[in-house]
Amino acid sequence: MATETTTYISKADHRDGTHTKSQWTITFSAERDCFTLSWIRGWVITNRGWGLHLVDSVPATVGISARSSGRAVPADLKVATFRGDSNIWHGYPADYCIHAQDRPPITVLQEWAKLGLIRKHELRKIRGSQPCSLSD
Amino acid sequence: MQPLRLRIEGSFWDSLLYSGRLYLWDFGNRLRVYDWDQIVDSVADDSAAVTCAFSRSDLLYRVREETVLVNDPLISNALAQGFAAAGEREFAFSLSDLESAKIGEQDSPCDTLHDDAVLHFNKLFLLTESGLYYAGLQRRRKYAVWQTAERCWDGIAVHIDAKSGWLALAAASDGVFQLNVSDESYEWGEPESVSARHCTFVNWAFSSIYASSNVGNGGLVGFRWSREEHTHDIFGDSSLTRVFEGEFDEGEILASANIAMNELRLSWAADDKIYFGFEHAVDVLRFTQKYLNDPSGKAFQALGEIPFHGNAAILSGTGCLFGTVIERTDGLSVLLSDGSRHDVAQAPVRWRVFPRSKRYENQLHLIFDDYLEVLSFNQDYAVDQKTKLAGSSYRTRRLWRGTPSLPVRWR
Repeated sequence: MATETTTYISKADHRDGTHTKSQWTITFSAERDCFTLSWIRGWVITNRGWGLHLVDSVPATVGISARSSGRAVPADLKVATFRGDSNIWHGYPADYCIHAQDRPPITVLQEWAKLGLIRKHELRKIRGSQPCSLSD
Repeated sequence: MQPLRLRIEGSFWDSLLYSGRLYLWDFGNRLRVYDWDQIVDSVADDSAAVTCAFSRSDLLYRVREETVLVNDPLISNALAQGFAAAGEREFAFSLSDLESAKIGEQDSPCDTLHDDAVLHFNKLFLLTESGLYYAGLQRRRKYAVWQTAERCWDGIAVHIDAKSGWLALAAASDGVFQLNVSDESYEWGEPESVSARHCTFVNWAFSSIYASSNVGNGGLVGFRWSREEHTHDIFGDSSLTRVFEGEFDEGEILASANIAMNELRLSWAADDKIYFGFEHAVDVLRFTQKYLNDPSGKAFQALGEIPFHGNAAILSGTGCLFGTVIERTDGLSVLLSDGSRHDVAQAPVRWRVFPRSKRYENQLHLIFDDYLEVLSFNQDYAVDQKTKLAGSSYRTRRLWRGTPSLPVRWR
């Protein structure tokens, strides 16, 4: 019986300083682990997923905002988002304050809140595209 | 004057007050609707202060309308004593305490927790991750709200505000949208884009929309009222419509008032006030809509600054009669119209004010992890509305020709 294999790849434009792309600041190994956790936990819905890089069970920075974001100082980003096509996945740090489409779905955020990874007020702020540190 | 407090225990996601009813969502997306007047009556004990504080803020402004009343020390002292006495009392309820006031309970009309909501023109508008939905309110049915909401737009927005039959929508990098929902046939079409600037939240300033952003420049999307001669309202007067007057960047607004933009954190507005949150102060400008594009420069006039210190970043703000509410990363600050300040030392799950209600304009709702707290600020009725810095100005407006002036709020 044939089985499908899920493959995770790194995309260069999210690591090479491309002006219009958010940039990973964690290693590729950590990035892949972040995706793996999302996959196992069910934080992946159809062809999109969302993840956290947990250090001592606390969300840590995964990357920084794109230089084209218009901010005076690049923002630390703590939510990762993943996209899949034909079981090949890649991801990037999600700048949900800029792009509302990069906000994790409410169901994923509710799960994170239930696990104590984020607070309820952070759930509302993320859905409102407001900045929050996720480490209070 | 300290605010009065009312607490309801529970794990909530949102609270809205509208036309005598409290709409409470919990984290399971269950909606409970309560008779708010009954709840307040149960603790008022014939106290005018408690009634005014929680269900009849309009009565305070009627006192204000009659100068002979507000200037009579017996009246003003009685009110002050009433509020002081009420401030000593604890108003706390559990959900079981509120059973007798419960009108109904149902699943929310949308399948998932909403991102934002507003009640307007007897409809509930909900922003969710799949778009903008609406559900009608029902007075004499088993369910206080339609059981299933209808989607009117599949676009993505993060914040919504309503006024005078219009919805304003903040759509982050997609800009600002508006939708006229005054047509009772529900044939509204789709929201139209009115600005491409990044927008995190919106506030109404008369018929204009102030677009605020945590990552870019805020600005005013200016509209003026215009009478349409070929359509008439029920009084025979020409109907009012909104005419676009242009977009005014926060930098441009500050420059017109001779204020430097250095260290500006965030700007926001409400009705006749525009607020600029700087490193150490909030600068307040008066906004006069009829002077938009007038070469006199009277549209934006500097009124003064309110000291405001703190390391926490400003996330959002709004204005109402009692002052301006500023959300920071670590809590809230309310800069009150009498020059005082009230701080909330923890970040709320959600907070709301009701500036376009008739009876709840003095309330700030704060949802924390385990309870809803209703704060009622009641100092504003005695404040000089022309000179106050923080808070929208209360105005008397004539309803129609030939009638005496009545205290009418901007709707």
